[in-house]
Amino acid sequence: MRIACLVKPVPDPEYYNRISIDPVRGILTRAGIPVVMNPTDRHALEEAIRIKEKMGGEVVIFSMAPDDAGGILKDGLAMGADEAYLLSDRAFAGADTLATSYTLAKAIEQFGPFDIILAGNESADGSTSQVPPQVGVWLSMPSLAGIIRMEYGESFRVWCDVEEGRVEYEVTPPVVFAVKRGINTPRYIGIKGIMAAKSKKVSIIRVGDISVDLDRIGLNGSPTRAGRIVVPDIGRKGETITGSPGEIAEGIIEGLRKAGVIKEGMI
Amino acid sequence: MDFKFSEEQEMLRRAVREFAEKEIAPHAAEWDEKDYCPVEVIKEMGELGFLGTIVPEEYGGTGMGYTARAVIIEEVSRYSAGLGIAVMTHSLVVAPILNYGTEEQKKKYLPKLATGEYIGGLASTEPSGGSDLVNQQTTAEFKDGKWVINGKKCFITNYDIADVTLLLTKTGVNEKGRPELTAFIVKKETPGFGIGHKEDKLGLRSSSTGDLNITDLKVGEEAVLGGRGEGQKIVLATIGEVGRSGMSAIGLGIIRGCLEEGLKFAKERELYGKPLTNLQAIQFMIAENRMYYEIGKLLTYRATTLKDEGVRCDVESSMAKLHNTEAAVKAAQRTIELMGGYGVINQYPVGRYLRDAMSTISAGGTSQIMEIVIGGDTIKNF
Amino acid sequence: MRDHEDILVFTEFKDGHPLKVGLEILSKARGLADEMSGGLYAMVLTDRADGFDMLFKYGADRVYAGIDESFRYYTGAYFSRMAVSLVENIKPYAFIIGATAMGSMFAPEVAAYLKTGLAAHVIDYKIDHAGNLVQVVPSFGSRVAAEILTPHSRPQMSTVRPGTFELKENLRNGSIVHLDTSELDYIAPRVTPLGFEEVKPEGMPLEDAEVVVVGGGGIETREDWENLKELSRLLNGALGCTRPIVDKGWSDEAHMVGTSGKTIKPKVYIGIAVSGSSHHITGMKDSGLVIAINKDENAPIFDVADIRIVADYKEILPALLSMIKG
Repeated sequence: MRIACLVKPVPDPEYYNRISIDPVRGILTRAGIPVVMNPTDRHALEEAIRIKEKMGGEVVIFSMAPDDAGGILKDGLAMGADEAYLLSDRAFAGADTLATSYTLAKAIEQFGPFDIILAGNESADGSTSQVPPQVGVWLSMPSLAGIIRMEYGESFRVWCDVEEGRVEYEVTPPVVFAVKRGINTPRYIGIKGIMAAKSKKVSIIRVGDISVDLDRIGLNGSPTRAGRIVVPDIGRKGETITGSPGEIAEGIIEGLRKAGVIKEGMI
Repeated sequence: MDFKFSEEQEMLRRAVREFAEKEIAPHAAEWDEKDYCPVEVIKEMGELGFLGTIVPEEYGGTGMGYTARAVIIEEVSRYSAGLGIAVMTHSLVVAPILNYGTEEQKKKYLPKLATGEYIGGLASTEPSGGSDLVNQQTTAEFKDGKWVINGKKCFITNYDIADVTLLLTKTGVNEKGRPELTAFIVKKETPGFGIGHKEDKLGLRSSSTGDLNITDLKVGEEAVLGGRGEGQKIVLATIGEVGRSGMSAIGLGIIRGCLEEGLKFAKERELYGKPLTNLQAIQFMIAENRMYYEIGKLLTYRATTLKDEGVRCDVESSMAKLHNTEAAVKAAQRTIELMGGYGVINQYPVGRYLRDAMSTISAGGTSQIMEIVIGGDTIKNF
Repeated sequence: MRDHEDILVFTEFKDGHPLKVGLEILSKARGLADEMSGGLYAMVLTDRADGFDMLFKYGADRVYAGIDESFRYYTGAYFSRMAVSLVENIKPYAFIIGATAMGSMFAPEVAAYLKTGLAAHVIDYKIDHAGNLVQVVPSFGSRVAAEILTPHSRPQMSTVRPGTFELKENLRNGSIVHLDTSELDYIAPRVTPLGFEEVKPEGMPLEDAEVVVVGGGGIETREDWENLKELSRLLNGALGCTRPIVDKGWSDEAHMVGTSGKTIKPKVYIGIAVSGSSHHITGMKDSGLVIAINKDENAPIFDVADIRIVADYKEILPALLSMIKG
């Protein structure tokens, strides 16, 4: 079973409250915010490694990011992936989800074939959930997202989280799966993994290394354009209640009463 | 000179940091409050290979070395210096077995110690004090083919959780009339290995420290480490290079904790409508903590790099230990000042860091002992 | 720009009923269609031939309905083929899809087939002077909002999360156009739905509750969590949570409020030991009265709170519970 796993480096979600915007230039400042592996992608990688451990084969990471994301991919190798391809080139910059999925799909095609493509259901920064299904379209593979449980054998059974329940599917690879965080608990990286990663390679892929239509990559290949960026004013001028716990509780109940959610006889 | 960590060491740091943020940071205050040593977390660290860095691969470790060990201790101590010293102490039995053990002893103990199946400890200190090592009251007598050990050890970290303890004893007097000290590898379940009173410590409370009451404990010749009369050399070398570099990494972790907590507070807290970081007085404190950290880092990792290269590093380890434990106290104090009233509220961790920092000073030799080592070497060799 | 531009909305059906999100989108898109002097069309793929009235009630001029047993559950190959055919046929200006579990698989697939742009989780639409649809989307949680344009390709596709827009009735006397499903016979999907297993979320659904109590990462013990449950029950409300509670296993993603969870707008939101990450704030910022209890006065949740309580919830909660219980 050859498994491709899509991994995206993102600014650490723990620090999003620190993102500020330059009001003059309309540019986001991410200074001092570390880049980490997208949290949901770790679950995808964990699942990929589990499939490999059960069924044999290999796990290959694909990521489109600047060169300095190599460390994050190396961490993926330490978790148990076998190989990583980092798609890094100025020509890829400015890509929206369509151009990103095209570029990833072309690389996957080049270094494939793969039976399964695994990805996290959404990224912490964009949260669009678009790339995995679109990679499927470019590769003519069906895709399923929101996967919360998986069973594997000759065919795959997966359960997708939907409103009010789960839909169970039977799937015959090759296929694209996007998983949710609830599917597993990713392993910690141990020293054995780190030592093993020493001999595994992160290959940097430039635009010339894969056969792509230049009109489909980067900004040129992106049908969407980003307009203005604004910081929405969602702030409220609240009042602070202080006092003893009893007084504070009274203040809360007063607020609930004014909001009209406390009915007669409730208290 | 090369001041860069290797890629593997950087990966290790990220891996341990992640583990510490998820498994240690959320519980550190509670462990401190309840005076609880989380053995289960130490075991988990063992499974991840974090306890076996100084053990070569042939004995089930990873052979990443002492710098890797210090990285692990620093990252753990960033959130819990108490757990840091429990982890640090573990190697005080690993290193001597590796350096002085017979092939049989190495095969028997190292794989299990490297993976955390066994936790280790070192028992040398007695009620009379730790620095007067030679004056051991614990005795081992050879009777009917067995060593019979009697005595009392105190201030022993991991005393109750260690599966394997290196026990220092007096086995007689040598030809020069000096006490002859011998170290024994003793397992917890050996009859006569009495786990005594637990100390209620000021700091480092996520480690357990207490007494061992040894009564007619019998072990065979195979328990002797490095041969009869080698105990003093083994224990001094272990404390001098392994213990002190470990203590310096603990101090370094505390300093980084102070630096990070203070910085976070100063960035978020506003005064006169601006973040605290706009005030120069606050910048001075942050600069001071940063300097403590950078100096501490250089001292610690120089000592461990020497150790990894097989070069003697007792003086370097002593300097790192002296600087980092003292600087940790100052950094914690400075950070409490920076935070004003919040600094003394236990909701913030810095008060704990101060207690932990103060408790690191006596462990592995007081600051004055460090100065004697450093001073002596300077006068003789500099 | 043409003299009139039509808007197509995919309205997802379940058991013969449209999901509310589709009606919310129709309510909003009605205004856009009027502005463009165009029609508002609903696309439906369903296994039952009923429930279409609701679509006219919320402003649809026409319903394109594909009715087939295979539309009971989502199968990408079928749904995408139907949508691509319809879009190529009627060439809408915009195509909007609810960001449900199904819509989140379907929309990107269709956009990739059509090689057009897709804006995710739009919170507002405008039409600019060039006649392009300006799609406002949140980014980095709700930390920033970005405008997304699809200037050179049509349709301009986007998704909208449930609860984003208000329902607004606007009854139309519309018509139903049946879509030809015969071409599906030539598709052999490798993904086969086997069935649906209902997972009833514990307690009242978050979206329906007037009062939502949310417990955050600062909740220390399971017992405290049970007390929050009690509080939400006493207030006839629902209990929600943030990511750390899911990670602890005390609740699940169905109860999580925020970017990858639910968007809620209750009359009263009570955040207890919630720090207020931007991902969480995205999901609750439009609540009525926001009450926040957190012991850290710098917690970002206080920036969006009407009543701020800087205190340890462990002290406040017992007092509040005993007062409500009388």
